[in-house]
Parts: sequence; C-alpha cells; structure tokens
Amino acid sequence: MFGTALYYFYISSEKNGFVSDVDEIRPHLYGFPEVDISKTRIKAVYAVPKNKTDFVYADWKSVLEEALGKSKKFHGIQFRGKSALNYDVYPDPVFLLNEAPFYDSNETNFGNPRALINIGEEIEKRIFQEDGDLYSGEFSEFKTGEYSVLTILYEGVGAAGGIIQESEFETPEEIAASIGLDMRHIFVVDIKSVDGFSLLSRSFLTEQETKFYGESLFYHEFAHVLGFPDQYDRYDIMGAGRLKPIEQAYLDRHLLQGVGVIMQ
Amino acid sequence: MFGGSLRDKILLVMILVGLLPLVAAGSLAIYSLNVFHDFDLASIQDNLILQKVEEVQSFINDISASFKLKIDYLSGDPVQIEGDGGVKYPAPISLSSQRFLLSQLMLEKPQLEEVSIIAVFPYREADMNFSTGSETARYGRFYPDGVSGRELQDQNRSEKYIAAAAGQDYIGPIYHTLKGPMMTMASPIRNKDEEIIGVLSGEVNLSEFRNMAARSKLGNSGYVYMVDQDGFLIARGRLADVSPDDVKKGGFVSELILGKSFLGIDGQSRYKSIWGERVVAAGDYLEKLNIGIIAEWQEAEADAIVNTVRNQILIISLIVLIATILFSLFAANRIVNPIRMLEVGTRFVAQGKFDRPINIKTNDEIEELGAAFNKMMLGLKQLQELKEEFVFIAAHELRTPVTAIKGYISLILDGIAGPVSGSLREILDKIQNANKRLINLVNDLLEVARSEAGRMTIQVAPTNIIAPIKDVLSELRPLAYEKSITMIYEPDSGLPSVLADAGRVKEIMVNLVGNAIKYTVGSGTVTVRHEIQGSELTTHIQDTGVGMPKDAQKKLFEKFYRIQTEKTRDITGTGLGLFIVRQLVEKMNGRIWVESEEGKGSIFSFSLLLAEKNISQ
Repeated sequence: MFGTALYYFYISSEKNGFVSDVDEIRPHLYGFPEVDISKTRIKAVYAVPKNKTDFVYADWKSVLEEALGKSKKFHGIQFRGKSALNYDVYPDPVFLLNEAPFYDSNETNFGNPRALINIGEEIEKRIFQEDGDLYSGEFSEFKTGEYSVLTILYEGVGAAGGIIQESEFETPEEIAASIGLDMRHIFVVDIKSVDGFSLLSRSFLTEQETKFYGESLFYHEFAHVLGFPDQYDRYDIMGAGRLKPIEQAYLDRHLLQGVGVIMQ
Repeated sequence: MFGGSLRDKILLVMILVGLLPLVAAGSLAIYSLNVFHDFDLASIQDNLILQKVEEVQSFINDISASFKLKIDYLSGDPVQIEGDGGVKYPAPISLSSQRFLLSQLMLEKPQLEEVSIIAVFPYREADMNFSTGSETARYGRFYPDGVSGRELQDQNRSEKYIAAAAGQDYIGPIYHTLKGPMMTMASPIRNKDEEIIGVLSGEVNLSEFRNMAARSKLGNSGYVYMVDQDGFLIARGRLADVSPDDVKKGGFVSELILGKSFLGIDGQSRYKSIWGERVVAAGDYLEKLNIGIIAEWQEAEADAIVNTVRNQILIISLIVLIATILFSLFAANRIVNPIRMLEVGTRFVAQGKFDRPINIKTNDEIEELGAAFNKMMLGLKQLQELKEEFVFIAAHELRTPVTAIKGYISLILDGIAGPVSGSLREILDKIQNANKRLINLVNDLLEVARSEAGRMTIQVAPTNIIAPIKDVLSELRPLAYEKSITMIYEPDSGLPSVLADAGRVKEIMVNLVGNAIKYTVGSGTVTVRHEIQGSELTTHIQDTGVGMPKDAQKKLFEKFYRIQTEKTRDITGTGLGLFIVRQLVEKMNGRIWVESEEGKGSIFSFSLLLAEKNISQ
C-alpha cells in the first residue's frame, strides 16, 4: 500500500519544464542535471470521488496546508536554501466525475498509479484548461522558470508520484528501453500543464495510526516528482524514514549529491 | 643640497644619526607589534575554538557514555531459534527491560530524539520473533510510549548496526531536520561476559551546538559558527541571517572540511566573510564528529588596539622627527655661528683691521678659540703699529740724506765743484734719476705711514677743483708732450664746488694723470671730464693706454700691487700711488673705481660730495 515508484509519462504536447545552464551549479532533478528546480511550485488539489462527496474531510484545507507548510520548510533545509518550494491550494474540494473504483485499481504495489493518472488527467482538463468547468485563471497560472507540480490529496487510496516528460517514442516499451527503466514504471498520460505530479491518500494525514508520519509520506511522494527513487533499504525519507515524523526526516547525502546540493 | 655648507652637513648628519635609529626602532616596534598581535589573536581564537571543541566533545562523550550499556543480569535461559542449526546465543535483554532502559534514556537525555535497540541475533519473546538486525524496541519524542510491531524497522544493512554489532561505537554524518541538525550514534550492548547482546542506537539532536556558538563571543563583533562535513551551517553565534550554503562561499570552510587545520599563527586567515566584512579567522575540524568550528572576528575591532598603538608610535615618531630636525637646526647653527664669526674675523685680519675683536660665547673650546683669535689680532695690531712706526721712522730718516744727495748732485751738475765731463755727467744723471725714484718711494712710504697711523692731515672745504686740475695738467704737459700724448680738459665754468682738500686733489690728479701718461705706450690721448651724479661730482680720467685685465682691476688699489706685463715691464713705480689715492679720496668721503679693457685704455673715476648739497643737508 505504501509502495511508491518513479514514473515516467509520455505526453503528446510540449511540457512546462525548462532547461538550465548545465555549466552553472544549480539544484536540478535527480538524474536530470539539465532541469533546474531552483524554484518549485506545488499546485495542490483535494480530490473527492463522486461517490464520496458525503465523506469530504471537513478540515481538509488546514491538513493540506500543514503538510505543504512543513514540506516547504523541510525542502528548504534539505536543499540548503538552494531550492525554494512554494505552493497554491485550489480553494474548494474537486468532486471527481467518476466513482472511486474508476480511479482506483487492483494494482497497489506501486501506490495506485492508476488513481494518480486518472485524477491527474481529469484535473488537467477541468482546472488547468481554459474550457474546463473548474478553470481558475489565478490557480492555473504558472510562472516562467518554476518547476511545476500537481499534488493531489485524494479522498481514496493511494500514494504515488512521478515526473512527466515528453518523449520522442510512442509506447511505454520504447520509452522504457530508451531510458533504461522497468516498463512497469512508464505510463503514457495526457497532461501538459505541469512537470510532475503526486498523490497521497488523505487518510495518511489524519488517521491515528499514520498521521505522525503522514507528512513524511506526503513529501516522499512529492520527492518522486524531483526524481528521487525509493530506497527502502535505507533510512532517510525515501526509505524507512518516510515512516517517521517529518521533523526527524532527512534526505540522504548521496541523493543530495544527485541533485547538485552537495558537491561530490 | 648639502654639498657646500658646513651647517647643512652637520644638519644632515644629525638628522641621519637621529632618524636612522628612530626609523629602525619604529619599524621594529611596528613589526613586533603586528607579530605579537597576530600571535595574541591566534591564541585568543584558538583558545575559543578549543573551548568549543571541548564542549562539543563533552556533549558527544556524554551521549556516548550513556550508550555504553553493560547488562549484569540475565532475563532467562538462552533462546534457540528453530532452524538455525542449533546455535546457542547469549540471553537477550527482555523487552520490558529494553523499554524501561529506552524510556529512562529519553528522560535523562533530552538531546536524544529517538533511541532504539537492535537485535544482534534472532530470538523470540512474547510471541514475537526478532531477526538479526531488526529493531526490538524504539522510543522517540513523537512516540513516547514506543513503537511496536511493523513500525519496528529492519536495520540489518544500516551502517550503524554493522559497526556496533562488530563492537565499534558509531557516529554518523550530520543530517539536517526540521528539529535541527542531528547525527546517529550507536554502540554495542554487552553482558557481564563482554558478549554483545544488542545494539543501542540513537538520533542525537545537535541544537545545543547553537547555544554553544551563541555563548561564544570575541569582543563585540567576534563570533563562532559550526559546519557539517559538507560545509553547511549547523550553528552560528551571529544573528544575521545567512543561507546554510553561503558559509562555503567565504573563507576556508571548503578546505577545513577536507581536514586542514586553521589553528595557530600559520593557520590564521584574513578574508571577507559571508557577511561582507573583513575578518580574522581560525578554525578546526573534528574529523570523528564531522564538525568544523570557525571563529571570525571583524578586523576593525580585532586590530583596533594594534592600530591605535601603531598610530601612537607613528605620531610619536613624527614628533621626535620634527624635534630632531629642529634640534639639529639649532645645534648646527650653534656650531656654525662661531665659525662664521671667526671667518669674519679672518676677513678683518686680511684687510688689516686688527681692532675688531670677535665675541664668541659658547662656553667651550670654540669660545677659547675665539679668545685666542682675539689675542692674535691684538698681537698683529701691535706688530702692525711697530711696522708702521718703523716705516715712518725709516722713511723719515731716509728723506734727509736722499734730499741732501739730490742737492749735492745738482751742485756738481751745475759745475760748482768743477767742470763736469760728458761721461761723468751721464753717470751723475743716472744717479740723480735713481735718487729721484728713491725720493718718490720715501715720500710715498711716508704718505702711507701717515695715513695708516692716522696722521694724514686733510682739510676738507668747499673747493672748486678746476684750478688744481689745470695746475696738474700744466705741470705734466711736458711729460705728455714728450710722448706725443694729447691732454684734453674742457671743464664747464659753472662746475659746482665739492667738499675737498685742494692740495690733496692735486696729489690725486698727479697720480691718476701721471699713470695715464705713463701707461700710454706711444701717442694717445688723456681726457679729463666731470659728471654730476646725484649729490656727487665724478671726475673721469680716461686714457688710450694699455688697459688692464679684470683680475688686476680688483687688486689695483692694494698696497705694493703692480701689474707686470710685457708692455709695462719697463715702467717704474712703487706700487703705492693708487693705494695713497684711494686713502685720500676716502678720507674726503669720496669713492674711486676703475673701468678698463686690455689694449684699449682705462677710465679712472673718483667722486666727491657736492659742497652745496651736502653742507645744506
């Protein structure tokens, strides 16, 4: 259930990411030194399936903002001030067009990626596209030079995150072969507004059993959008540390080396 | 600049003698001051850093000591896990004891954020199976009652477990959390037989380092900060905000974290800090703890004392320099002035003025020299008076016999003593000429002697000098005629009177016109004319004679000076005439001078005061 993975998605249109000057040492995506993440912005949405509108968590906004606030501080400390994380919260819950089973899947080994993809594509159409029924000009505005992320607090099951990248290849098999990843981690999505997206079940942040580490898990999924892989055999936030309070969490030095924060 | 003057030379020597030690001593003082100051600064900063090292070490040692657990009791019989080949392990600590230990540790050590015990061999207790490397108990600030079940993590591959299970104490790298910088520490737990029966691990909050840094002050502007193994800030004693990354941009942090020490005078560094100020800095790196400690002190304050002292040295040196120059000037003048007075005295002596004693009051050898000089002048004056007396007497005594000789020769030549043959007359003529020169010499000597003895009588009165001059020209005309020299004198009949002695004017004119005729070789012209200049009447005697060089003109009026050239070799004279002329002119309050050009002739001029203007005044 807590399994997460690094996902690469193929989209058919131009993405919002930008390419930095590789000669200048700037924080960048893990494994992608050309993608600058000096400025990162989360567009956060609380998504509720159609059949769960009666179960909207009343305090969802404060829970989400608490998680985002701590993630911002945590991010600033881990990146040693080299990368700034900011966020915008969509003001109302987004009631999805379909019921939970449509978004969820039987495959939970990697944190319910199907929910992430389905909800992400729906939000892309309804919120980020001008003809969407929930379009908000202010929320959908993306500043030049910012690495943009869609983060979904989901009133369902799942925990996942990944980078969205344009590819010259058509199929997941071809894409996986071109970048040397397991094909199970490659999905084709139709999202062009953001550079990556993550999803976390609301229950992780509020349920008694999980809430003391829920914020760590929240950042853990977001960290996938920065390219960080799972490392369950280690003890930082990308490994066993995701099950500890975010106040005690950290990013491993070798991961920080991989994003240009710590010199090799 | 100091080439010719004794005063300047003395001044230069005194300034050098005073200045060189001053410059040497000043330079040495400033150099020593800087060196000692750097040593002092290094010592102060080193002491502060070493104090911080001690505090950090003490902090870590305190935790480390609490981690060294030795269990003296057994909770039960050794437990054997099924399927592991019958291996026997020591008795583990019971879970209840573990929880008690961890909860007490959390209470006693507030700097621990989390503590856990890890199994070093498999065992089972209370229906729970623990594998090697799995956590058996964990307590933390966020879960004060501990965690259990699936939240206990497998640490089998963690560095802390591997090290501690092998019997080593483990201190991990510093990592940064929302609660502050932290590090992981782990140690083996042993039983009374020194067997390792578990691993105690903890996450240590290093926020106390911030207090350590905050407590550290160097004057008003000095501070301490600490960095981790990557050079990122973990604690600072300065309030100004700074990005955790920025500390590597200034100073030596990037070298420090590679293990280089910046302690001692050799390690002391000066640079622009990340806060943009020039600082003096020292630093040390604790390799085992992955902590660098840096002390920085603003140069402006750190060097304030040495700058003040240096400025004082410079000001005092400047004052001493000025005083040295002034004293040297004073001393040089004090030494040179008496010498100058002596030099003036020698000039008087050279001029024959022995009645001008010098007055030197230096109360030393120079004053004695001045007194001796005055005595010498007195002696010379006496000698001069004796000489003058002798010359006067000798000339006077000679005058009678030479006059008698002159008379007798005249009588002989007149034939009173019998007929005079041609050859005898020729001889007598020569005797008479020689006697005449002797008479002239005697007369001149007498005149000079009178003048020097102050016995020369001159009666100055308003006098028209045309008549005396005409008398002289008339008297000398035969002489001029003999040499075909034309004498021209056409005075204005209205020429004003001058203050003069008519007889002495004649003497002057005899000398000057006589010389003009004498020194005109072959035919020529001697012209006498007058000129009124201000309150004086100047009389010029111009000839077309041999003239004289410039050097000779300067000495012309000195006693016994005669110009010896090819053209004047046969012209006789005593060398006293012009000396006497000058004496006479000056005694009539006049002046005399000459302008001459070799081969073209000379103009002798003397001026006398106009009677009308000078009497009325």
